[in-house]
Amino acid sequence: VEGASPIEEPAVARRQGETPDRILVAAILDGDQGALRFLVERESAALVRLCYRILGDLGEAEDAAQEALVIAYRALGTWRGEGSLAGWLGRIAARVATRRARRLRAVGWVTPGSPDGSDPSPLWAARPDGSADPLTAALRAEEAARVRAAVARLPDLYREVVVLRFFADLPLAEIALQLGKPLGTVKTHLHRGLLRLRDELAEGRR
Amino acid sequence: VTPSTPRPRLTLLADELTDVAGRPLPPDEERRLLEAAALLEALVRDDPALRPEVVARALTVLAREPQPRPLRALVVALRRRQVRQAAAAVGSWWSVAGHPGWPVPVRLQAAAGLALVAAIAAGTLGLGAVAGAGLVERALNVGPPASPVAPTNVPAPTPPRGPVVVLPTPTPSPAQELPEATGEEPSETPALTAAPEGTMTPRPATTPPRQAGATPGATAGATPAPATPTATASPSPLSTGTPLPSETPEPSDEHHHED
Repeated sequence: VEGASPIEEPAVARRQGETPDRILVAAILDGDQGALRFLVERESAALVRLCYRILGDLGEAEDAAQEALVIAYRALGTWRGEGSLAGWLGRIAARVATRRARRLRAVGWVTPGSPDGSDPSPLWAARPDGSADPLTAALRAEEAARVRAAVARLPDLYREVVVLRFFADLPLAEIALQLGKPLGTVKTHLHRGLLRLRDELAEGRR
Repeated sequence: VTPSTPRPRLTLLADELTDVAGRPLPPDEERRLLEAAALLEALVRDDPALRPEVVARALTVLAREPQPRPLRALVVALRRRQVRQAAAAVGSWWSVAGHPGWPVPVRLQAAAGLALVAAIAAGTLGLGAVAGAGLVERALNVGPPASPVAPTNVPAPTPPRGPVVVLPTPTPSPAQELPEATGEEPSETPALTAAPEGTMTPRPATTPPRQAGATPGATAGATPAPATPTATASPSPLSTGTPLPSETPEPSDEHHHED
């Protein structure tokens, strides 16, 4: 992130035995505004991306990421330093975004119409030359919304693992660290979550 | 410490999937799971770019938040001798303790700080009140002796009663002074009568019978006997047995009226 203010080198030198995340958190807890700015600039992109993958709406995703940052800041004193700070933030953001996804109402779908003009539709009217394929885009968006809704309906145990693995791009070992569970348990939850998701999506297609 | 780069996108691998016992899955089930994973991975193909105003907005919101460790914020401010920051830290405790959005441990910490501040304030107020009350009480106790408010104690030594008061300087030996009194100073009698402040001057006849009897000769020669001004020069009225005539000039009107 450009313009990020790095933590002062002397501070790092004084605490060489600690991880950079711990140094960063300690500086923020001491009221260092530069450290807080550094953290926000470093993690905002990942948080917005994660929330967007869950919500599918950029405005909602930005609001969810900001809410997650506020929640994380308030609870920063309770961070135990197990696992990465980014993973901890991602877990908070995933919860916030999932809660918002459950509150979102059903999206009103646009009728695709037909390309020959017999059934005029805003989609085809927007691209009269037919260079793009708005119908395909609309169908893809519908499918994505369906998958997101299915993920949001998963049981908490499975959903958290699935979201952290696929939307936050965390490896399973890091997820196990963040959740405080054995790696085998995390694998099992992922397995069951994917099975449940697949069954639900297949059920919806029928 | 450098800003982190975006994490590489992870594709689910078959070895990440095991059954409950940790054994590899059957090929058919593994294929179904990988299909479901492919649906999820398809969602993340078109990630949006981060808009710069998002960071600025988040920083603005966070700048208004109190410190995440209320008591530590106060300690740090005091250590740095930042009085304003310390006051702000204490002031933020109320909003932290009463806001459900804060974690419970942080709220408890802020509430404990508030209780401590309240106890200190109550103790200070109590001590101030006691000290103030002590000052006021001392001021009230010191004031009355210096003030002329209580003259009621003064009349106590003036209990002269009776007509004795009228003659402040009775002659101890009227017989010896008779020539002077009769010959020279009858004119001083008005002065003498004026001195006792009116209540007793107009009545020379009220002289005690004993004195009147003691100056039979004087009365015969001139003005009424009490006019014997030379008696003032007499140094020892006690010799005559009169009850301290020198103290009589201060009769109180109240006693006369009461009598």
